[in-house]
Amino acid sequence: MIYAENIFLCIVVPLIVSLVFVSGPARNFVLSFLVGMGVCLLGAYISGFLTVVSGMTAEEVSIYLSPIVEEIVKLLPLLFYLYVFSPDDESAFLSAIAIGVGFATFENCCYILTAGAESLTYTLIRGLAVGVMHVVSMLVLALGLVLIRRFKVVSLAGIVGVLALSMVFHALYNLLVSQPGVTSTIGYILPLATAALLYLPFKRLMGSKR
Amino acid sequence: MNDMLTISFLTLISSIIVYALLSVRLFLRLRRVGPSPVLVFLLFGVANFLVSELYWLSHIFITRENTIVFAAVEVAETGACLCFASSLRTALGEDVGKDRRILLEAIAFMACNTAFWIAWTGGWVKDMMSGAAMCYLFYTCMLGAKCYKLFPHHIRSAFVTGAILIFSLQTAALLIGGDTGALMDNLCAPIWLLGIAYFMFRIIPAVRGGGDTLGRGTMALTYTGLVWCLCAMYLSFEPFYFVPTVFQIFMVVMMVLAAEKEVAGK
Repeated sequence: MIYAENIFLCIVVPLIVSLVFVSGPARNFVLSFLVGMGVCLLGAYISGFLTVVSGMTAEEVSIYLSPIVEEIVKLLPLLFYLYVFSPDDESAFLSAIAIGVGFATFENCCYILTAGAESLTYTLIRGLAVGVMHVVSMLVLALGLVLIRRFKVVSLAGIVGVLALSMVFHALYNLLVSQPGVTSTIGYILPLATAALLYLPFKRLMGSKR
Repeated sequence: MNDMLTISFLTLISSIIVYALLSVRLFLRLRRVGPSPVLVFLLFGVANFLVSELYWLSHIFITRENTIVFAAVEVAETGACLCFASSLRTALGEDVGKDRRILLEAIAFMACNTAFWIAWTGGWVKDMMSGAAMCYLFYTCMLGAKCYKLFPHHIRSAFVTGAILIFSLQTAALLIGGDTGALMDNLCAPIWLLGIAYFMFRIIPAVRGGGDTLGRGTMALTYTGLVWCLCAMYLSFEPFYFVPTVFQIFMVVMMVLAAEKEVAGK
């Protein structure tokens, strides 16, 4: 058992203090990073609740339900930021990536405290796979939301459609790494491969804005 | 591995290849024509289908089972339907407006479908979620059909009669059960097939730009064809299940071609 709230406080306090001394995009990044860590904790609470009420095992919940919960809690702050503060595309992407990185960082911290960090290979895999996966799923979400906003189509259907894509990408990763062997190897490669694929449309979108 | 699982594997791999190629094609088209909402939403829809099939394939490969606890697949299909609906809606523009009668018809058709899915599978949450998304897609398709006068009165009547027949046979199959029930269920297959044949007959020349030129209505027609194939797929058992599955893949190809034409024509 770990005390996730205590770990959370330990990491966020210096970040909150740093907010006083930074401004502009750096402040945006730190704030979104904090939000990412916060929603990770919230997602863990909800997944824990679902484990109790659904009658599924913790592993089944992490494979089938957690991706849905986690993507929703990551979407909500981004949606709020996009539609309430109307930032430019670059700030929106920065914020989305920071939420993903914050989420992955806190999840990895808790996981490593539980499972140990003796194996360098395993910790590297954890960082490159889960860490990148959360960034990629946020990037997909941000890409979709920014385009929807740019088209001036306030479409709930479109937003849910984009959210579904990031949910299933996340679920696919969780399913693949749930079994050892060739499937988990594919799972570990999947986020990095997708990040490489997304690089081009992302760069193009940022370029077309200018 | 049994035969059904082998066929399942084969259709999944084919669909993954087709959807991956379509995604690349749409991405390249977007690079050429610039960010078009019709194509972007369509790309997200096809990507949803692609990831959904990858998920299914991984699930069958890992668990060797053709059933699933709670399907991320349904989430993806729901997302795909919503993205397709958004794509068609942006193509139709604001002129189509709203139509309460069409909305009620769409709700009635999809509610019947959803009720049967729930009756057969017992999955309340996922079936209602898919049903709601497909209802929105079907409603958008019907708005397009009305706008471009896609279906003559006698064809509309034939589809309504077909749907009533299917729902009656499904009710009988559920109530009777056993061999007679299975026979009733099998009797639905020719009706579904007739509908698919009709769509193929209209869509292929329209997309190729031959005799039946529907202009902007082609997109709405292909999307309606997809809804019909999805309904046929969800209300069928193996081995007939694989027939609408193959046509569904074909419909997505037609949708992409029709959307590209629509964007190029604007």
